[in-house]
Amino acid sequence: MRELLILLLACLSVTHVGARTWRYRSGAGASLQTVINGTAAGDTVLVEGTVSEGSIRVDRPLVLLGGADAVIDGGGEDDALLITADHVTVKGFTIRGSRRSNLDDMSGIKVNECRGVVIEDNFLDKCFFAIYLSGVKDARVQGNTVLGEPGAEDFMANGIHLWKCSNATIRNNRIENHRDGIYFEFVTDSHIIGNTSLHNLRYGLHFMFSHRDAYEDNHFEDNGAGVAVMFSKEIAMRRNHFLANRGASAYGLLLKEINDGEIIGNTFQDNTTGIMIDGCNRINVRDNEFRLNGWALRLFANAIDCDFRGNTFAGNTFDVSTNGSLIPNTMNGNYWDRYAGYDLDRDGHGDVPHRPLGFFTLLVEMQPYAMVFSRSLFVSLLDRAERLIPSLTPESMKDDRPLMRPPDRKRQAVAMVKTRPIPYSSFAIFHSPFFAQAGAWSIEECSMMNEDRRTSERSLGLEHSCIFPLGGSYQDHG
Amino acid sequence: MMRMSSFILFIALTLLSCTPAEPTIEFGKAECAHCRMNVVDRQYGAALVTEKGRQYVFDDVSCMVHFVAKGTVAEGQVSAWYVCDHSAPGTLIDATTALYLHGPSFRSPMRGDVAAFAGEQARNTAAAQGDAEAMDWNAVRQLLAE
Repeated sequence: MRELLILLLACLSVTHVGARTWRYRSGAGASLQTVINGTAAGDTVLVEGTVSEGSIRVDRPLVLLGGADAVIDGGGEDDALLITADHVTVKGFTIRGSRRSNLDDMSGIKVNECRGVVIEDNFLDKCFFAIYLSGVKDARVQGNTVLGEPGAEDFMANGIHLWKCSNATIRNNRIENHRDGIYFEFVTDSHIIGNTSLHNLRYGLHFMFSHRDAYEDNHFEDNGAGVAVMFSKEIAMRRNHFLANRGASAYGLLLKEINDGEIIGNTFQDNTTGIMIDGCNRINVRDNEFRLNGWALRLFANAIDCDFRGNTFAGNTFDVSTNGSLIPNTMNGNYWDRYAGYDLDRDGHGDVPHRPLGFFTLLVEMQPYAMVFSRSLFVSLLDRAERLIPSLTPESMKDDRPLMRPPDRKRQAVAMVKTRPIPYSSFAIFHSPFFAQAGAWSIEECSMMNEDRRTSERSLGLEHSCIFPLGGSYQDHG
Repeated sequence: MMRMSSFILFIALTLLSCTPAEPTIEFGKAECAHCRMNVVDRQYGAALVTEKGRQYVFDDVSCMVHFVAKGTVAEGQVSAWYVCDHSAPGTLIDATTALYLHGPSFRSPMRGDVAAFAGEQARNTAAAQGDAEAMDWNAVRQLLAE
């Protein structure tokens, strides 16, 4: 056993015999590029100070280590750092000053056509694209902080952008103020784990034509339009948080043309729409929490064989909405806070089915302006009548075994994350002069509203213009 | 006379208000009518106006072509087609008279990869930077409809 270990160590040291370590301090004569050009494959270059000599190219397997103050400043000249060789590691740098160009995708770190690149613990400061991987296999992008420039909408590109890659791991990065936080196009067999993606102009995470990928334990908050998974197959989405994505075209999670996906154990909170499912097949939606959303779930009638099980719906303005009458999807054993049934046999499941689709929900789907009647007496009467004698709501849209209590999960405590109130009103129609006027009256009765619902209406953007029963309205000063 | 001129003014104003307004795209807020994606990229947006004056906004020319091909709005109902000028991001120009380039260097949101230009000069400048094929509106529609 011991011999084996020694042999192993010997082997390891042999491979490192040829590798040298270069120490480079900027301003000391030669440029970093000439130092890199003088290295052999497998060498390590330790960089200190600010390197601002334009675009740096790495065309051989190297380890680039940044010292405490290491900066690579592209000076607005093409990519700040361009990697075209296998097995390059870039660690511990601040990278900035890539050229902003809409035509040729300039980036802080660009990696082209290679395998085994490691990009770790870097700070990407206001780059156009920050980390751009094209045709890369087995990449690892880990622990980077990627901050774009807030407000520069014309000159914003994606934070971590992968194009035609496979087997990539994107882990524990933080991305803010880019166009899409993480963007996958034609990327297969890859993992996105533990990232935080905030305040991006469009999507926190965006999949296009990417298959067999998984994203887990990520945090998406306050992105312009949430997270979008489009035209992809076999995507697993587990234990992510989708928070505070508000706006008429914003979704916690937008699924468009997705086949065979699974959505398990996620939290959707404070979104205008929790999940929008459009044209998807065989999606397994289990054990998720939908809290305080405008619409928890919008399930289009073109979705087939989606299964909803063990989910918690609480405090949403609308739990489920759809646009058709035939719903070839199943919902069983979910918890609905609106469920008004009973459980005489005490098996934990309600004895009468729950119909999550209200009459008013359908009405709003057909006539968005009907939203002004939200929470009015007449609407609740109609809703109640429809629940007793269903006539418009699709027969198949029901939960036969609704849970009496929310499923007990350890995550429950984590689920109620306190989110910052975001000054963002979403509903376009509520911007019209008519509704602006509606907000002018103030009625004290608002306290009678259930706190949960009120928050969920806030995510609908109703807070300043909620029509109250009998035509009055209240103004929320909280 | 005064009466007459105010009458003419009234008529003129009425007629003026009848011409369909040129669409505006609220970048970052608008949703593509075809693919549902948020319209953000100012170089590749598109829009159409129907005869009734209804406006549809798209994030990519290909979405606009597919949208009409799908028949949600029939071709005959479209009164005006617009695309974003690639060389002046965010500006809408008439799609039928615009000049186009198609090539891999134009990465539009929905992979239509077609860029529009208002003038010959702007198109030539962009064409010089990468391999791209010059096209007109009909060729673009044919290409994207495939």
